[in-house]
Amino acid sequence: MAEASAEAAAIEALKQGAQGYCALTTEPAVIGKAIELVQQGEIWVARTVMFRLLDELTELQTACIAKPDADLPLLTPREQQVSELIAVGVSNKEVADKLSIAERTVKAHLTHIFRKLGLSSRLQLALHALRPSLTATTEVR
Amino acid sequence: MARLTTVVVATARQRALCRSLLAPTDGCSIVGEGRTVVEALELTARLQPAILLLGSPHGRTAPPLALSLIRSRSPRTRIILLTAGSISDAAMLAAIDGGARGWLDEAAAPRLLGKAVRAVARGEAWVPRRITPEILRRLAAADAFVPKPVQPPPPRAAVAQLVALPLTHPPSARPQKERRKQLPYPT
Repeated sequence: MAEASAEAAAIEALKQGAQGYCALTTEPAVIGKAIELVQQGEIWVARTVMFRLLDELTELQTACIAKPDADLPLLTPREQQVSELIAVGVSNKEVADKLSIAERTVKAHLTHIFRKLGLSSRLQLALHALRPSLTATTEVR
Repeated sequence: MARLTTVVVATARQRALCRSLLAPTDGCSIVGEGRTVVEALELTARLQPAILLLGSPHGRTAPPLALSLIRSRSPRTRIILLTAGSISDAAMLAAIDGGARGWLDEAAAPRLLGKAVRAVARGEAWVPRRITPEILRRLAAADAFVPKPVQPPPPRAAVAQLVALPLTHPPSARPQKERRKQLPYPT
């Protein structure tokens, strides 16, 4: 198969049940190995094709959680910083240390964030932080 | 050959290992180092490296959400996980969902780290081959649930033809009423 567009066709074929894919340029020794593995019941995919498969899978996941909502009230830059840190699993105390503010202030920010976004847990906030409207360009200092 | 910028966020031992293995002579250079996921977020957002080597002890990986967030701040950065020991399929798949494109066991690093970094940078995945069936299964399942396109409205001529039809019920639509009339008692 020819390289670029063939990869898309290969992905389609693999989804339909093909057990392997080798590009035209694949070395004979590698093709031999691929045949051997497929005969053993495994699936042979070139690393470049695998990369594209992973891209598709990640896009699928992102599409599930990242639904932009234009009606959401915007967070202040500080609230965005707090929400992004919480999203990666940082505790209130660590956020306070990181942003050089009191822990009580972090809690106040969180209360505002939850109220503005209509959320009730840190997990929901983590999911929400992946929305494009929130993960803009703020830099954590 | 363009310099391959790499940020290493890992344990002290893993960082030392990466420093010793990623020689500038190979075209790789470590432009930033950190210890925590938050530092990974900061460093990748600021330095926009080609590769983020994200280490973790005991085969655990950073939460997929953290990986997604890192990727959203630095879309061109490709993430490779570096674990002390093997990684479970579930953890690997979760990391892929988050955006990881490679994984390497610390023990194999001396032999494969440079190779893996360069491969992932040029668009090749460096993940265990055993997860391929599960990836394909998930993608095929997702394809199966793609909603069918909405039927286009019938052409104007067909609509006009329907409207022109007389508003009477076809004979087949009336038998129940007919049968009811024939019943000897009121219903």
